[in-house]
Amino acid sequence: MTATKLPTRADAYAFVNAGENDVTTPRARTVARRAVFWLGVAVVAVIVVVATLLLTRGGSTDGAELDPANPAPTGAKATAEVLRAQGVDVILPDGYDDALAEARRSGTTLALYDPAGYLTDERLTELVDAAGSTVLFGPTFGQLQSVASGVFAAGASDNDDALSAECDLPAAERAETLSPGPTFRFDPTTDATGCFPADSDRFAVVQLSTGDGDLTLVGPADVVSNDSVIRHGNAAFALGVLGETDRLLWYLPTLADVESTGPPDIAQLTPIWLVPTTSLLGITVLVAMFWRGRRFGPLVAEDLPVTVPAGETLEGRARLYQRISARTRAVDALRIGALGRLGRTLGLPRTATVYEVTDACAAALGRPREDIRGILVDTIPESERDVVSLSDALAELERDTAAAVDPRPPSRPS
Amino acid sequence: MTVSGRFVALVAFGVVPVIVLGSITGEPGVVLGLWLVFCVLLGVLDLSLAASPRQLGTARSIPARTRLGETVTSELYLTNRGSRTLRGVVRDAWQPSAGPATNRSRVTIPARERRVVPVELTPFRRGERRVEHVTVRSSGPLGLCSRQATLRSPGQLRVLPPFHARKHLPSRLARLRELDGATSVMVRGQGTEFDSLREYVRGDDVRSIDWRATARRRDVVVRTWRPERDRRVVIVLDTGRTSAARVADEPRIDTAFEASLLLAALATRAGDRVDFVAYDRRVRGRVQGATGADLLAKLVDSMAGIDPELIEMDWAAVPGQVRNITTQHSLVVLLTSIDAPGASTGLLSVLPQLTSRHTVVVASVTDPFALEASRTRGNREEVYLAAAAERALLDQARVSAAVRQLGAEVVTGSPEELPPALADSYIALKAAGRL
Repeated sequence: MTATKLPTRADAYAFVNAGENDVTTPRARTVARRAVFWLGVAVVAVIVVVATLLLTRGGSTDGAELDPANPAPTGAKATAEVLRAQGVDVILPDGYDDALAEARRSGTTLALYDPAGYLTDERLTELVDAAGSTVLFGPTFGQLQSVASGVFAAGASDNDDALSAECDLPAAERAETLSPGPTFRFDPTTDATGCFPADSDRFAVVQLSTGDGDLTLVGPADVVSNDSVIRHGNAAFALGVLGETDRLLWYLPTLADVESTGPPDIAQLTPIWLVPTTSLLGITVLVAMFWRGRRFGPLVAEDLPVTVPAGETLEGRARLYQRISARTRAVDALRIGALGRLGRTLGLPRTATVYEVTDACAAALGRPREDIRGILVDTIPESERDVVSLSDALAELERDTAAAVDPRPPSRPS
Repeated sequence: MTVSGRFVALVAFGVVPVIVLGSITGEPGVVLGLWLVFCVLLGVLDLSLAASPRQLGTARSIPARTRLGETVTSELYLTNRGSRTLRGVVRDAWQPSAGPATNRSRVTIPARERRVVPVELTPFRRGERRVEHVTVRSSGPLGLCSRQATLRSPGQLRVLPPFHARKHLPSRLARLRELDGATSVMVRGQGTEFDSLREYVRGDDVRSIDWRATARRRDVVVRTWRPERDRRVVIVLDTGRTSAARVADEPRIDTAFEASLLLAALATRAGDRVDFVAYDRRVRGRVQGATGADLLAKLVDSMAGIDPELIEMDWAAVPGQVRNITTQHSLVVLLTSIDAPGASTGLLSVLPQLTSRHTVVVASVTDPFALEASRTRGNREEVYLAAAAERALLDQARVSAAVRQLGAEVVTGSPEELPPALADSYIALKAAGRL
């Protein structure tokens, strides 16, 4: 600020010049320095939460059963990893369409586990037909009906002992024993091989020859699970059955593979941009709140005077009279005021007594003394109505007396 | 930092690319993210191109004082010391009761130049009205984002009492002149002073003929008189809790200011010395030894900063305060309120001390509402209100009677009536020579 450019003003004007660095808003740097502690706290908190999540996730038991990516006891990561190490290309399809496309490629073994029956009979048949060899883990009654009509479920094996192979299937021969579990019975007329018999006609594994490959039904599905693959000959059997070809299509149908029926649902009808657009509108609202909510500098403080209406005590006293029904006191106040004014109107001295005023008033009006005395002194108001009527009588008395003393018409009615 | 409505509109406009490009590419979420990044980048660019409001130098030019109800212009000079042109909005943060017409102004200040921001102020409260800081929002070239800084730039404007009662001054001065020796038609009393002799003209009071001078001059000569001069008037203003009460939407203290200003203006023209003290438990304002125009200027200046204090008036100290000002016989005007016998005990207890040495006038504002309420008796509520009003008027009359009994004069009136009534009472006392 250069002094030469200051405006010249009369002395009545005070000129104030602010200093060089008189800025009260803190710089962004200062704000950042003040916030650094809390930012640090936030970062540490996030790190702790993330680390906790990472550390606890390994022991969790959730995830799909027999999922080759699931390291939990019910998963099948061990088997899949060993197969991969042996040079088998383990493929995890994204959905039914993907699985079907992969299955059609030659030299593919399909491993299917669908205990919930998400696939319809048609889809299952189509998929099994498309694939070369198929290994069906724990087939349900319906699945057996559609892909192997000559094989029937025969219940779980009777005892907990391991089952021995007793057949010429190469994988079964290598395995020698297998965990017990659900078994099958099959029509002797069908071209089927039964392995791991639980008794004379019940087998844990049944292999059927289809057109271009084998269909292997494995009753105890958990032979490939991480938990039981190490027991008995499970590992050898699983590797033998699943590792026959270079490509293994490991398909676990999910809810998404259920074929929809009926009209399209709301999710299919909404356009894809709906969610991003609504989020954008939400963000716009937030920005608008910041726009309108940002304060234009600090508030200005000012001491304001108290407002004390002078009539407040008056009104308070009036309400008090009314609430406690102080009728006599209220009427007496009106009477004393009226007596003073009547005395002045009638030209009586200030020292005149009440009865002198009433007598003079009665004389001026030509009314009985008792009436005037009753209004001005004697009558005790018994009810609210008496209060109002006495007040009216007092006002009338004052008016009449003024008129009687001064016969001219009153200029202004009081 | 802050954003403008334009920035909000820019963000909202993202609906178009999200729908159009999102439908084409099939990835509306990605489009949304890119749009937000684009908005933020544009905002940051705009912000970085805005001139720094910290580079502003401020200076003010404010009239030192104004009367309540008048409009003055305060000027704020902003100097851009930076190297970029500053475009933005300035908020001059005056207190609300300074009555700024607008406190936001749009400014454009080229680099190394100065601009003035005028603010019209119409204060609606008496006293010191202050401004502490100036807030500047400097927007970028696109007008999307602004940089904001608050600069300290103190200033103040002293708002003086309005002195509406000065409209009564000419008529009262005329009546004062009537007392003067220009005419001999006047009341003779012990306090009037002999002025001069002059020839008799028709209409003069024959009782004022000076026979000795007539004999010397062989012409009829009358004596003329003039009112006494160089008396002292001490105005004591009660700033205690009762002065805060509002009568007809004006605090008692403001009415008291009006009354004392009119009295002081009148008395100083009449050649009397006027001293003023505002007191409750300590002296809130004091004007001593000033005369003429200087007196009124000092009075309003002293009154500007006085507000009612919510404490009880210390009447016992008032005689001491008067004695500090003068020990001569003087007219002591006590501007207070006479409401109820209980509240006036302090006043009544010290009045004898004052009346023994001085002529005392007690001036009080009465509530026109009480008088009106005592006459309105339409229904039950109004009758009780009338009874309470009658009781209040009786209390007032009793206190007034007690004050008169102690030898002081009482002047009461509604807020409009009190100043002229007090002036009239002063003229009457002067005419009677009781000063």
